[in-house]
Amino acid sequence: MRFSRNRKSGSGERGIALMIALLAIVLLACIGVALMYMADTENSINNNYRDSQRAYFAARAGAENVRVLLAQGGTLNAQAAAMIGMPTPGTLTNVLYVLNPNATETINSNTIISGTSVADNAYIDDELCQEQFVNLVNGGSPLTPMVTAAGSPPPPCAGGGHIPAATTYFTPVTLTTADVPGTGNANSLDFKWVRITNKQNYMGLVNQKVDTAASNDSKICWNGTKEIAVPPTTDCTTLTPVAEPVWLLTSLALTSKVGNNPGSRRMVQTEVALNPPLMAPAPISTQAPVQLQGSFILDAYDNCTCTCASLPDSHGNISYSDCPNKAGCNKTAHAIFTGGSVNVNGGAGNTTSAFGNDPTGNASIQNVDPWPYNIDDLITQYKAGAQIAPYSCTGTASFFTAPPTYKNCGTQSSQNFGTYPSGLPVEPLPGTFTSVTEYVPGSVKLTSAATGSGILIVDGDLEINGGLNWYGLLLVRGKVSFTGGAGQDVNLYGSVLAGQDVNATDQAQSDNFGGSINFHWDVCAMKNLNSGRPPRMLATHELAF
Amino acid sequence: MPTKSNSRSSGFSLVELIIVVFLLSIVVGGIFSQIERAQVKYHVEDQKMDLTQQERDFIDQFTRDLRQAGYPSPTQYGNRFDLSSQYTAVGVYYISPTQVSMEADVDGDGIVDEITYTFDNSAAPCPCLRRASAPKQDGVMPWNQAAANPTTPYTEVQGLVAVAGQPVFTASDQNGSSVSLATPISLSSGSLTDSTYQLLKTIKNVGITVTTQGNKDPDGRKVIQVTMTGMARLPNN
Repeated sequence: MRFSRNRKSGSGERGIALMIALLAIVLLACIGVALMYMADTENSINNNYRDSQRAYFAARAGAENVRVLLAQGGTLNAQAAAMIGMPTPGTLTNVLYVLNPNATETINSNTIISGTSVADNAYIDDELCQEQFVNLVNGGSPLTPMVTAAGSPPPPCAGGGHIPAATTYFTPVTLTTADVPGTGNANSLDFKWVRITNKQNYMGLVNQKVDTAASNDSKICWNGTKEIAVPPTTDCTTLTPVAEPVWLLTSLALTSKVGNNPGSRRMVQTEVALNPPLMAPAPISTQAPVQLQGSFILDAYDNCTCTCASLPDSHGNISYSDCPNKAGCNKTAHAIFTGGSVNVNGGAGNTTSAFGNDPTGNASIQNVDPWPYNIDDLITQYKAGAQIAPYSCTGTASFFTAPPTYKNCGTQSSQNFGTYPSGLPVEPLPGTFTSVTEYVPGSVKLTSAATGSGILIVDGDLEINGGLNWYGLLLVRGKVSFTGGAGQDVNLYGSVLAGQDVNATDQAQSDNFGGSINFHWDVCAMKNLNSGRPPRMLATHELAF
Repeated sequence: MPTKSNSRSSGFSLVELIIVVFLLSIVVGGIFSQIERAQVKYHVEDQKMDLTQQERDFIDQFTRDLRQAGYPSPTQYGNRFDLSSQYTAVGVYYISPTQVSMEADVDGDGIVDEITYTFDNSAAPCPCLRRASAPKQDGVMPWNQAAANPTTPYTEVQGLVAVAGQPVFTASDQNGSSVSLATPISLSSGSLTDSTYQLLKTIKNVGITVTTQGNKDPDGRKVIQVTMTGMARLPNN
């Protein structure tokens, strides 16, 4: 009886405990699985987002890396400059692929073209067909241009039949870690290749061209203010005025797989071009009105192109001053190029130009509107990489208030920026003097005969008193006041290019030049101002299709 | 012997039961209060995650648009089009603490798109952030597009909070110095020498700060808020 009662009671309790335990375990398991599922989903979302961002910036990094290598004297400059025409089957040199594998992958000529879709081969250049290079043809037979008759973009290249064989139209380039950080190693960046080509006139997008009058396969050059089309085999640097080729950089980035996440694939395209030399159109080029005072000499004949047949000097060169009537000199420049007017105030000067000798009249181009130079943009462009003058500057700058305010970098005497070439007006040979790009962060007064060559950027007003010997360009944001040439032979070979004072309404806000100044326009002094600088980024965008 | 046994199995006294119930209620109460706290935390985190996801999606789209802003530029067409062309984009042409308007070819079809982001501080269902996008109408300057080509703004982020002293949109120059938007910078001229145009060209970064709020937490004590900041460089500006 006791046994029976105990068994009855005991079996009932055991059953309930089991039920409750099982229920609890199932419930907990459900909660656990749900939590893990949610966490996994969130994790995937985060991974995707991170990979996507990483791929975008890696693609940008690839384009930027190559851009730096395209600088004059850079590793890729010579190869890129040798790309004469558009991509063409049978010409290997008109397309370059800079490859950037990591330690465990192989990227070569075949990697870029093999497979039929991105799903087959994530490295494929499926953007190439979108570019619509008119000379590149399908690999199939009969050969047909990639450009569709209706102008609508073709589908992305699917390799095989869409792209010519690898060996026929491009050159793969493998660089070292000195040029591409980490390339070939585990710590390489995630961009896989960067394609370099010249930019073609026909851009493919909704049947648009840079220049409708030029042929589809024309080459695009950058003249400093806009893109222009020239015949495909023309060297942009032989144009007048000098221009530079526009290079199209297409960069692909892939991130590695993480678990089931296939990694991100993003592509960025950038147009870059070296800046053509900044050739100011007159010895005094300024947006503000110009006031001439005291005695002045302005010579608009180019100092370095005189080719008269007489009187070579002891160096075998022909001095400008020796050419009777300036024969053979480039005479395209005016004495003054200004957005305002020119006024002579109580002085007398000597002005020489092919257009006349009256600085208030034919010798000058006045009231230029619209003013073609964006000084803010130019200063931003040229100060990147410039050496900064070690002056202690005070105050704050506000460039776009009226009137603008600048930092004050004080008075600096006897400054030397690089070296001023000797032997002028005989043009110096390259390498015989040191040219610099110097950036002064605010207004400055230079006294006691500053000297130098290259570009002097003044991010404010420039006042010069007590002489100057400069070979190159003075790039000034604000007002220029040059009132004391100190009786030197020639103060400036090249040009002064100034802006701002947009709101100048009276002569008090003019740029003042006088007091025995002597300016001489010089193309040679200005044409090599860009050496060593990376090309300018004209436009960039992410490719989406 | 049986008497002894019977007395031992005769059950618990009332006092014992009360003690057991009391102890159990303490233990169970403790357990449930922990579960309750965990649940509150879970709901709060869940909402925060939703808010974060919503903000991140929006900021991702915003930064993508900004990176394309100004593409293609007139110089890419040899300056043969002015800013009114549907083929050329001026980039950001209006910016204030509550609105950014830009032009960009965001879908790669060659036709520029007009994109405007607005912080709408009106009543329910706002405050919210809206995005309007439409292909650019040819022959109309950017600043006249809104009138000539009205678009429907879609609400992208709801439950926004206007935080005092925290502008939604900010701008900075290439050095990271802030560009004042106290007066909205609004382009109204196609001239390169226009001072507004030059000022806009100095803007190299645009930032966005979004604070959204969900419901009150299950305890009803405080409102759940999430703040996220993003910044995009304008490579074409």
